[in-house]
Amino acid sequence: MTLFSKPATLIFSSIGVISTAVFSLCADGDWDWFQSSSVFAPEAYVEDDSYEQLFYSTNMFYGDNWYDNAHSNRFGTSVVYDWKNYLNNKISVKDLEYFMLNDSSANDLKQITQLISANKQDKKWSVKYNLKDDKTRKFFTFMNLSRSLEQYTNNQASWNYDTDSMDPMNYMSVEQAKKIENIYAVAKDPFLKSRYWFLTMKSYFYSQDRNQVIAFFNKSQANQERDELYYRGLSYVAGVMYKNKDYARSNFMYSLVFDKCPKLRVVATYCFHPQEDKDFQQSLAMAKNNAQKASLWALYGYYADEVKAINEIYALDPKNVHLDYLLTRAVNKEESKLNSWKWGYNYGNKTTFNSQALDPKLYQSVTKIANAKNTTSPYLWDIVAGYLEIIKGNNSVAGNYFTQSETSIPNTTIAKEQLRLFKVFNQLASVKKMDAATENKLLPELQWLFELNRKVSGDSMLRSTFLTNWSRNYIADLYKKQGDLVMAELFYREKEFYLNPERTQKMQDYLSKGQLSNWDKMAQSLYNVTLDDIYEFKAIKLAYKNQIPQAIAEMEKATKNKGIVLLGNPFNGNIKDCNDCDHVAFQKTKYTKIAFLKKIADIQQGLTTASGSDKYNNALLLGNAFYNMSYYGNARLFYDNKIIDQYGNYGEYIDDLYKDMLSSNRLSQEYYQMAFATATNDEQKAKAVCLLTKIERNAFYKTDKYKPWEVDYILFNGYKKLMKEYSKTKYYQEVIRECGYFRNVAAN
Amino acid sequence: MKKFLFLGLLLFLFSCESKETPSVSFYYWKTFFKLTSKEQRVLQANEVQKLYVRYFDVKLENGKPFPVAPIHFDAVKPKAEIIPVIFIKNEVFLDKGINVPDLVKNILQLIRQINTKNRIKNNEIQIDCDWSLQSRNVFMQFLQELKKRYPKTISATIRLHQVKYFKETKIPPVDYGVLMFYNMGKLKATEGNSIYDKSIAEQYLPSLKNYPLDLKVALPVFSWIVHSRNSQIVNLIAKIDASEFQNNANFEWNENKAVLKDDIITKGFFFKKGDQLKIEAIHEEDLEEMIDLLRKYMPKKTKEIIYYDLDQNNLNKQTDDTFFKTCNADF
Repeated sequence: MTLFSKPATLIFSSIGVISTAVFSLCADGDWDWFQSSSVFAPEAYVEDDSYEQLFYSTNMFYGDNWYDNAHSNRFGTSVVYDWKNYLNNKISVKDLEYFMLNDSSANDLKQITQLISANKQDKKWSVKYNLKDDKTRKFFTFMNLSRSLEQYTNNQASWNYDTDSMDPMNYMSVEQAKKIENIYAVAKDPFLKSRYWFLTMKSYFYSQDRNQVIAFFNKSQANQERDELYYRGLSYVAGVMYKNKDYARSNFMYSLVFDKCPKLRVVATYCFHPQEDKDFQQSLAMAKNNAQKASLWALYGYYADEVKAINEIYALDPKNVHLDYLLTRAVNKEESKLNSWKWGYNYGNKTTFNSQALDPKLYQSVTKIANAKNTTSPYLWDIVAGYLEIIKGNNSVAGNYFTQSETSIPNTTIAKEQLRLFKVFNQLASVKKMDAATENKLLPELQWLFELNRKVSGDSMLRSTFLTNWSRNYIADLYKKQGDLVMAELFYREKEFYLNPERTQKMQDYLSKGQLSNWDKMAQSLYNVTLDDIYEFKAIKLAYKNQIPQAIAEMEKATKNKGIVLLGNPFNGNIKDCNDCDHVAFQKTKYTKIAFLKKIADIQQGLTTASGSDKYNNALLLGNAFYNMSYYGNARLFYDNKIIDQYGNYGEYIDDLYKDMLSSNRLSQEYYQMAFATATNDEQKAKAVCLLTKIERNAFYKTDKYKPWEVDYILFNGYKKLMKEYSKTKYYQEVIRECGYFRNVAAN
Repeated sequence: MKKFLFLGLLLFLFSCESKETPSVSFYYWKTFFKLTSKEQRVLQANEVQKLYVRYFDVKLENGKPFPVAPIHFDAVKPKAEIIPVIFIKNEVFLDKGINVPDLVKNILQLIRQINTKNRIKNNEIQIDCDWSLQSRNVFMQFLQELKKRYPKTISATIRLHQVKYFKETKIPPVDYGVLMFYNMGKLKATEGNSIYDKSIAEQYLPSLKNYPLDLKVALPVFSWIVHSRNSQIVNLIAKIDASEFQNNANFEWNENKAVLKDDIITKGFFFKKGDQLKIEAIHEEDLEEMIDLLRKYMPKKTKEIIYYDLDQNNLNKQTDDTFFKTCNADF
């Protein structure tokens, strides 16, 4: 896949087995997709949509369509429109479309043409159309011939190997093409003559000797009007010359097509493909005027160096229309170099803005052209100059450029909103301190920006994500510098914020305050942690410290979250850790987070007075409760909390901040040991040993000795003890039945 | 090379597992089948019995699966047996409206047409698809349906991640798989080799012993050039001999990397001053190391090693034409 690939090679390039790597090239960077680093939508000021697919994209092609895919319908509308005018509405547009564009009209065309050539009438077609009318006759005759060429010219996706267009049998003979040239030669009607000219070009192009197209073009082109048909014909010549390795002439012709035929602009761009420096220089030497030179540079700019191309074109003709699209590419490319951001999941998205990397050549060229004000769209150059000044930190200069552009930008929503985006950017970038006055000034602009970014993407071409992220970073940094950590957190949420109890208290106080300013409301709307989450967070932390009464007190305040129902019975302790099994198993009592804590408190209360089997049972239940609350247990949902944010993370992915808390089985182990110590028979002891072995195994998982698929278990001390002391128990048999690892150990 | 021959001999003498050297095969991955004399020599020198030829790709066109670029053959056919390989883009199996029996019928019919027209007979079809978790079930269903209608051998390419996570990605219901032992790393602008990286390979290799399907091995012989600007990859230049750029004074080479001294258009590529090139290639010693690793980790000796791909540009790096045969002898 080369930068210069032509559409045909792209469609047919078959890299199959190695395609994975190539596609990972496009997907590189995962969440860092291009639009996220851009603030500038080229659509805002380049309104001619023939440039759209040439806008800059880090994917290979711009837009949803990936590559130029208009091959079969590019001219559908214009050819019908031309014939409609020529025929003076004698045939309806619907019928024209049927005869010209619909595959199933071939037979009808044949019948009608037979009637015409035999000068006959029938009851079907003669009633519908006036087959005596000269223009109508010409239409049908032309169309019948034209459609008959499609067997040579059209390649449709098919499961039939025999009709595949690569089959050499399918080229038209030169003699056949020559016959069409003869029709062209005698045609008098200029409308028809022009169409037969194109048909002849097409026929030679798809004939067994495509070089004939060059000869025919050379002798006939002078008489041909420079219309769409001419440039379509010229593309054929350029294609043949490319195939003949006459790159200089081929590229020169493509540049003419690029310049003069908007519908073929994308095709011409993808076909433009100089092989060596000299090819491009020779093409330039062929250009007869500045416009032709400029269009060659416009193509060079697409592939090679937009800034160089802009300078060359500007020197030739400041009013050249291709300048604008090149400028948008240059800016978008520069942005992808300067700006980047990292998705922070539920936290702040970190943006970086490397203003030092700004290309001085781009800056100089844009400033020079903007100040000269002699292009066809001076507002675009002003706006870009302003943007570059923001990047350089010259906010007042930037402001001047934006003011100048204001009166002349296109009267479209996107043009106005794009300018507003830059103005918000500039306004915020010039703020050095946050205070009430600044907040008031920024409020409406930021509300607008954040709202724009919340809208589903696709609604607008505007690119607001990077600016949204950047502004939140920027404001948070200012607040942080001023010591207002709560406001900083609201704009840019940080993982560690709640690890400090003092900060937690401050946020709790702030979120509990009754009177909110509009600024507060906006800041809070950006934040995804609620008071409820904070209380729940505190309760969870206390629970893992075995401070159950305090945990209950905090959990009670989490009015929404406390009622969340745990998925399995958190007091069960099974031989096998199968959370899913526990979740689907029948449960007489369902525990909410608060009910779970209260039950623990009850059992702990009971434990102080119990003895014998009761004590054993209570200790075992508490061991199970703390086990299930941990990462390994069936009640992981207990630690599902916005602040902790580890629910659903697998072992190694649990954040280091919470790894000890969630993967520790210390409390559980203490209770199981207590159970073992108070057990009154071997069955009870065997059970306690087995449950303790799970904890031994979990600890093993954290060591280097554990190698998934290779060393999944070792001869744990618990296994040894079970085999040595409790092999006569019923529980032992249960372990043998349920636990494959133990079964293997016991068998050896 | 003698050392390796010698080692091969030792293996032959002392190995009690399987004494047979894996046979050498190649993938052929172009749209027009025509062998150059160098390619023919390599086939002959390595006693190649099988050529895995890409027949066509299947992708979605206007929402329906269609074949792309079916192969055409030169009049001169190779002596080796031809095994059609069909590359199916994952999008085909992700499409909700897919009609699996129709797809199978169409694929078989097109293979038959190509065979008839080119007087080829074959007893096997290989399916190449980088299926995902989302497309897994439809892909498996497709293979089952294919097996019903094509009772001869069906094989499928297997990526390393599909070996390691086979419980999730599932085992294709085929007669055997071909382990694609390449494209294992992430493509990076200036460092590493995305085609083969021992440390990445070693993360996957231990899983081989648990993989339930019989595996042949595919090894890379291709190379490409990673072209980057400001540390961002702008192009992947494949199917071109690096020497085309190595003999150009505008490129300042240091081992496998180059920096551009000036703006230049050459060989149809645009390079800007300061651009960087990095050749990612597979050398003889890499292939030997890969074979060493596979020998160590594969639970069963493979019967065949298929090299990707048979192309003159890829065959200039070996010291002699029989390299592949010698290399396989070390397995």
